Amino acid sequence: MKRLEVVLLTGSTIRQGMVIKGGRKLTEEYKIEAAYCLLNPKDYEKLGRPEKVKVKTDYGEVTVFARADECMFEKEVFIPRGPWANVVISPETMGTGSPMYKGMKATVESSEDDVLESRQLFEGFVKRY
Amino acid sequence: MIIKNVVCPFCGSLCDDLTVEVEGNEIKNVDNTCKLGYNKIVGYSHGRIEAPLIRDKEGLKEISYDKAIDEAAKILCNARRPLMYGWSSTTCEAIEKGIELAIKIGSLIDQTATVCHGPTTLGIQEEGKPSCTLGEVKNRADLVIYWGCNPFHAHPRHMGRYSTFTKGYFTNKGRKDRKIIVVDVRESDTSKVADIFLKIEPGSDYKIINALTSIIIGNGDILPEEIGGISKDRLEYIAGEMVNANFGIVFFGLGVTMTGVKDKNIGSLSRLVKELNRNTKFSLMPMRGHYNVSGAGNVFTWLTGFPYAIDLSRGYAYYNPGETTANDVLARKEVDAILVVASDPVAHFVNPSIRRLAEIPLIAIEPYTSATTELADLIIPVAISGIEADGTAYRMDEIPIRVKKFIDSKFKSDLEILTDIINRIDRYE
Repeated sequence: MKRLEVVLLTGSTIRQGMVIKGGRKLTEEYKIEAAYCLLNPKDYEKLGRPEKVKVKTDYGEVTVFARADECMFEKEVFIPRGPWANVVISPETMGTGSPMYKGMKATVESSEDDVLESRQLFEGFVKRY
Repeated sequence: MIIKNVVCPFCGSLCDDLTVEVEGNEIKNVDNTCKLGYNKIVGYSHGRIEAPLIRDKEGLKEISYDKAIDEAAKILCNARRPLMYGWSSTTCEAIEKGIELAIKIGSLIDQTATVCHGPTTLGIQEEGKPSCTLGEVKNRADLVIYWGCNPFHAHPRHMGRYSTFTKGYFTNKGRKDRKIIVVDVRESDTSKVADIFLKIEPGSDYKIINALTSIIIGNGDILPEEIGGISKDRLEYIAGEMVNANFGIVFFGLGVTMTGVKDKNIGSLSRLVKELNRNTKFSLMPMRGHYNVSGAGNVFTWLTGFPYAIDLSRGYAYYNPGETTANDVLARKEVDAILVVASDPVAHFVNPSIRRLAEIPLIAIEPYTSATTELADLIIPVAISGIEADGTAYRMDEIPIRVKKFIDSKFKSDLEILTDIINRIDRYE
């Protein structure tokens, strides 16, 4: 399967900001606004115009919806900040306290896996009693 | 009832010209607001936590407020290495109380800047921040540079109220009197309204900032023909625009703060602005996210000497980002209890930190269900500051503004809850 080496960027979007208020971070709406990956149209073609992509780094992998967007450079992908992006972000803060939210090396490939709900992402962290 | 000049408790722009229509004790409509502020204010009653909750084997169950304060006091008193985190979406008065509690229990205390403009603070501590107020930008700025930020999405009214489209005393033609430059790694809605858009290679901010500085101090001849995807000629043109401006301002966001060498980017940006001030008037301002994140930094600093990541366990304030910052102490599994106020770390921290949050007792003072309340052991519902509670907040240019209360709430404010916890701890001691 075709796999591309890319630089991963994360950040906030206005639509995401609109849906998070009022405890809506656990809803389907939030998943639509935060669980996607923007790719340059050429990269999107190279991957075979996938519906979903798996983004992998040394720290984890996450499957999100794929969207082609002219605004992206080739070999550059964007995931809105939030639970999906955080699965693959490095905890290394290089003495600043801030994890590597922008500019991480990653690979991206088409994926048939389900995009997890935000609740499912936290299931690995359930409380132990 | 129509209430005018309401302050919006969403982003660091802290727009203070909202008109809110209140009927009985309900918000009917909000005018003059952006989509973000509108959703926060009109949607204030959606998804609220209705009573204090505590988690046991079967899940969350309701308890009385008094019992919740008791449990919170117990968890914090019994912890050997507690952390208090959040603070950017509450009032300065509550933050002040938070520091009092942190001193009392010898806690680590950190605020959301740690995953946001933390590196900005480090850069500023090294190099200083030649800055100004947003009023000066509105009235004087004829060159506005947005570097690594997208105000159209994160601060929707910023350009309209303070920086781009607004008319000021010396900029009475508004947008026509200003030149807008956007520097970013991707096209954004902000770059679409710019006069000049520099699309740079990811991670090349440091090189480009220093190249501009070199050109401005007269050492441009040593530069290569292309830097970070931008030709030297183009950089020389940009440097010329900067030097020839009457009043320039660089607004920068996480695109600079979080990329490559992080705090060193900000330090070099500050040096660039300092050099520009030998020729003209130039300023620098971070685009702060939450409405009172600037206030959190200020209150922390005036009470402890440091803006974030403070360890008060030694009986004096100790500050060492990378060691005492929230993500580092959590990933190292150092922390054994956490109090979260006005924030949602589970949605925004990296996985190793969240794993630790799930292992330890987590107290959340929070109005809504959130990713953090999913993992919380004790949830204390609270009135929303800026809607149901008043107090002071700092705008991104560090101007304090009083946020209003225009709805009564059955819940106590952050300030009252923290005061109750402190009083309860006093009773134990």
